[in-house]
Amino acid sequence: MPGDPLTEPPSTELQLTEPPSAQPPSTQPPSTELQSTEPRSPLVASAPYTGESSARLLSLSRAVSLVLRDAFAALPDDLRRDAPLVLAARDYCAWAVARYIRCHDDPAYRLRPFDAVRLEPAELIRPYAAESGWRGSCYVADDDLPGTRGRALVTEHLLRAHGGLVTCELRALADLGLDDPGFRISAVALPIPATGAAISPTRAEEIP
Amino acid sequence: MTAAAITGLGLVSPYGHGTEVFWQKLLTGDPVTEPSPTSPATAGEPVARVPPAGETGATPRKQTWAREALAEALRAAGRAELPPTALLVIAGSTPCLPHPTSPHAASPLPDEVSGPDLRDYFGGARVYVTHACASAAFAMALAQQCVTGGTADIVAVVGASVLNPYDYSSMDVVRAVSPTGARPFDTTRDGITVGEGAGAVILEPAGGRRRGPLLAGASCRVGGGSASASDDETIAACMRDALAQGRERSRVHPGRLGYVHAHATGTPQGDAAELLALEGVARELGIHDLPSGSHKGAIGHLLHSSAFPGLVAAVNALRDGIAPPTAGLETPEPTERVHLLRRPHRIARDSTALVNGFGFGGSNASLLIAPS
Repeated sequence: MPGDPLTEPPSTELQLTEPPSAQPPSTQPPSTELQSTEPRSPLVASAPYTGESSARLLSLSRAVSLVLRDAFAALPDDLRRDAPLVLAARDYCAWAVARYIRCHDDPAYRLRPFDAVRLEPAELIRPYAAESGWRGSCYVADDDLPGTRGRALVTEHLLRAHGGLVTCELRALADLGLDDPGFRISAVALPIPATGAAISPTRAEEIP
Repeated sequence: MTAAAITGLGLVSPYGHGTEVFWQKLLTGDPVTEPSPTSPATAGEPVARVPPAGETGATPRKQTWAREALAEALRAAGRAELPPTALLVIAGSTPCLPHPTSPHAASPLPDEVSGPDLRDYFGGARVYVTHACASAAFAMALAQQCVTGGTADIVAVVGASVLNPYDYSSMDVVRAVSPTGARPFDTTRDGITVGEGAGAVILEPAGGRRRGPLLAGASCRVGGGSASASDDETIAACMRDALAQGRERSRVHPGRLGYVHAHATGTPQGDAAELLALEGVARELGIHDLPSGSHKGAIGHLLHSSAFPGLVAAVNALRDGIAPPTAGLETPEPTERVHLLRRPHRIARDSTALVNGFGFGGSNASLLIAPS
């Protein structure tokens, strides 16, 4: 059944190629995405690795917080505080580990505590949890390969068990190379309200 | 709502291959950590290695051990293999991805840090869970959710960790590594000892053809004010959630709590926060003598897979009515209600047990085990 969150992987709903505002409100999922100022990729948040500062990750973490804020706001009041979150971060994990290995093997680079902490995608969620008071279960969980169905199955289980949840995806915008590919961050609240909750996209320049 | 039964367990640890060898040696309280003059130790610190068992070297150890642990767990569950309808939950740092195709791409990730690779082992639905050193605990919490929802007939959880310079340095750089060996809950503790191994758990709906202890409650949260250390409030909240879930879903009274297998890695801050949380929960439950311990002084910290030995210890403690001692514990921290064990300790057989798991990124999990 197209559009049914129980049968359609959330990732399908997140493959937006235009700003949500361009869609009719009745079909628009309650998702929010970060809109950059780059015309080439209008629905992205990019956090390039500089190798010198933690500021980029902080901005990525801030971007995740903003996306999660809007997605959780789309849930009914009685679900919002305790609804589970599934963060799909396969691309981020692969990139972060590759980056760590490169730093580790570079004799000119001195590893810092931040390099170790950065390996963990949960660290991108922690600020939102601390600020919002959200206390639901959290799972950084993704298919080990694209299309192995595991995440869709897990999302279905959690939705049945809790009646609502938020899924968030960090997908690389380019090949996973040594340089930061940039990440598109998108989230969707399930189930999608029948009325269609219109959420204005957060713009990249709004990120502190 | 159906309860989740633990129908099979498998373990590869520095104590050897299999759950029983781990349990029997854990009861002795003898550590197997040894000073390492070679990598990954950077200054001769102790590490805990898995004894060889005929590995050929052709297959990465992580993959070999994960499959070995899964095979043991499946045997215990009376199965030859995972059915195609199963869900496989893999705990680790990053999945094994296909080799990048871009000319600018990084070289493939080393086997030691990615995977375990189980693509050829199981072609059904697989999901990868990563929450730093709490990965296996979060994976079990997710598996429990899938089973109790009544939509998964069988869920297997698996993970493996092998000593390697990359994981090791990630602990070393945050100054978490002990120069002399982990001593969880000891007043002289000064850090962790890194170990290696693998574990597997089979979960099925309770009341089915196979009996086993219940994973009666599971809580997993991301939160707290610091990335690197868990805070006592979040830890306590997780334990309370798991106990409440056990009461609501499986009618397991929280007051039956008879043992806590702590995360307790041996770091000054982490152990202190967990002990504070344990004291608080014991006080709330009116428990005056709550036995607690950790395996990390014995076989080291298995990082992403560290909850597997904890689960095996808790399940066997309930089975045998004995809580294991904590290797390396000589001068326990002063406590009011928590009993930090230096020797095996008798517990009631109808007790329940909590298994804690924490990790970077504010990842906190607590699992409640109850007799079937």
